[in-house]
Parts: sequence; C-alpha cells; structure tokens
Amino acid sequence: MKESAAKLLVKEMKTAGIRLVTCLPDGGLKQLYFLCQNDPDFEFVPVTNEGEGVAIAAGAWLGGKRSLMFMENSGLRVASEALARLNVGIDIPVLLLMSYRGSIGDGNWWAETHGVVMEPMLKALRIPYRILEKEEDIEGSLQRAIRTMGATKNHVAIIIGGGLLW
Amino acid sequence: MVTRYDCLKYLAGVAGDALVLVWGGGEGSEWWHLRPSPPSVWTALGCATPMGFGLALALPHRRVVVLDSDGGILLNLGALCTLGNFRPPNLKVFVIDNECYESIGGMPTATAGRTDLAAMAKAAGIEHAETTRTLQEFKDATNRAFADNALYFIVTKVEKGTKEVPTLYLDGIERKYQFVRYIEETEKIHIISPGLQHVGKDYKGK
Repeated sequence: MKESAAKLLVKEMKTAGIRLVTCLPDGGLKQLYFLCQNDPDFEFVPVTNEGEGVAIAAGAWLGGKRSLMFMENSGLRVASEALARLNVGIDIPVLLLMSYRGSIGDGNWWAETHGVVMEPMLKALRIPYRILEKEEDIEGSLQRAIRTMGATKNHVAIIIGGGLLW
Repeated sequence: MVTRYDCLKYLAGVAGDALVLVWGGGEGSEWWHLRPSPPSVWTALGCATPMGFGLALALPHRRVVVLDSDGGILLNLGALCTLGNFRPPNLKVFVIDNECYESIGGMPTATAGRTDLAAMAKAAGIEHAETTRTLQEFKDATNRAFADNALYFIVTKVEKGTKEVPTLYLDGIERKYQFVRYIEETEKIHIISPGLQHVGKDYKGK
C-alpha cells in the first residue's frame, strides 16, 4: 500500500485509542508494519500465526487495553478457530485489519484463494466488515469499528481493498 | 504420580488475587470448584496461553496465571516462541500434562511419546521452564514462580482422570462478565459497557 495510506492508518489507530498491535503482515501491509514496529505509542507484538495474534489481542481486551491484529486475509483461515470460539462462544471482541488479497487488480495467481474465501468466511464467522478503497475512507473507520465492538461484543474487520493496495 | 486435582488445590490456595485463564473440560471443572469466579475466566481451545500473554501485557502490575494443558499447548506451539522473546515477568504458565486427550477417550498426545514441552519452551527462549512429577515438586516450582518476577513455564505430569465435582452452572459468557467486572472494580477502569458510552468521549464521529 502507499506510504501515505499507511500513515493515515497509523493516525487513525492512535485516534481510536489502539495501544497494542499484534501482526503477521503480508507484502501489502508491510508499510504499516514498518511504521508500527518502532512507534512508542504501540506495544508491538509480531506473532507466529494469526490464531495466536487474535488470542493475544483478546487477552488484552479483557484487561481493558485496546488492541488490533493486522494480517493478510489468508490469516483469517488460520485464525478462524480462535475467532469463532471468541466471537460466537464467549463474546470477546477483536479488531481485525486485513489486506484484500485476490480482489480485482491483484496480479498474483496464488491470491485467488484468499480473495474467493475471505468474504464468505467473514460472513460465516459473523464478523461485520467494511472495505476501504480510498484514503478518504480511513479516517473514522477504526473508531466506528470500536464503537460497534463495544455495543455488540463481536469482532469487526476493516479490509484494505485493492484501491489502497495497488 | 500426582493428580491434577491435588495440584490445582494447592495452586488455588496460593493464587491470591491472581487473574487466572483456564481451558480444558476436566481441568476447568476442577478449577471452578476449587476457586469459584470471579478472578478466573474460561478461554478458548489453544488460546489460553496467548490470551494470558495479552492480559499480562495489558495489566503488567497484576499476576496472570494460565492453566493450560498438553493438548492446548500442542495446538499452538508458536506461542512459546513469542513468549520466549517477550518474557512477560508477571505471567506464570502451568501446563497440566496428562499425556492424553482425556475427554475424547484418552488418545495419547505427543507428550506421551518423546515430546518434552519444557525442553521446547526452553529452546523457545523461556528460561524458567521445568517439568514436575510429584506434588512436592509442583509446590516448590509454584512457590518459586510466585516469588520471582519472571516468566515461568511449569509442566506438571499428572495421572489421567477427573475428580467428581458438583455440577457447574455458569457458562463462559457469564464467567467472562464476572471476570471483567472484577478487573474493572479492582483496577478502577471501564472495559465493558452497553455501547455508546464506552467510546463516546473519544469517538469523533464521521
């Protein structure tokens, strides 16, 4: 994604009160990774798989620390067991941010799997989501997501669409 | 060999106001009986240890205890590597290892064979990782872990079997609320609210 979009996302994360960031990013979100890793406003936790990242974010939520997990959308499949149990099972919400690999404009053959699976899977997991396509979509997006999470105790996913990725 | 119940009974006696994260059918039943809510919470399969890590980061001044199992750790082994690199000093992970998936009939886990979880934890960077095999060893390790401001990973080999305890009436959601309300009360913070009020002050609206 463009550096300018990544900077807007970091600003939005801070405005939304995010203090802990867990991640296993893809090439599409690497600019976000570079910006977050040394930012003193975030506790930054790179993880070994997306299920672990989701669980760490959920544990932080229990303690009142606003957290966010960012990843490639393929990570949704890895994290699905943790996400389902937390969301449907015990109502512990996690804020997700993921790239929409495989959406229209992706030139990688392997990304088709990610694109085809993501939206049906989010629906199956009962995770409401919003796709951001322009830089103007970023401001307020995470704040709104957190408001919904507070009201519903469900995960919310913010998707970085092709318009912002390439 | 020692029973899980005897270990948990000792742990419940010395846990004080520690925040405890639990997973496991039999393990959970025994724990809720020995130490009723609020300061314990049900987690999710494979998530107990990473959730404990997240909570330990959120509340670094509180002692956080994870009651995990051999099956639970094996499902998410990468979490050991993250822990080994961060080493949150307020986190104490207890792995009650009965070497089997007991609730599905006792099929052996990898730890019934050659797998050594404490050795794996050490190799992942967790300095204080050890295996206990008697109640006295468990007590000594627990006391060391609680006296030391460092991450501990204590694997305890136990007999198979679950103690009969009275029927449980609270589900995971109710325990979660009790747990979070307990944290709110003791930390003087707000975590769960009906909705708008929670973020009303910092939500700028768009």
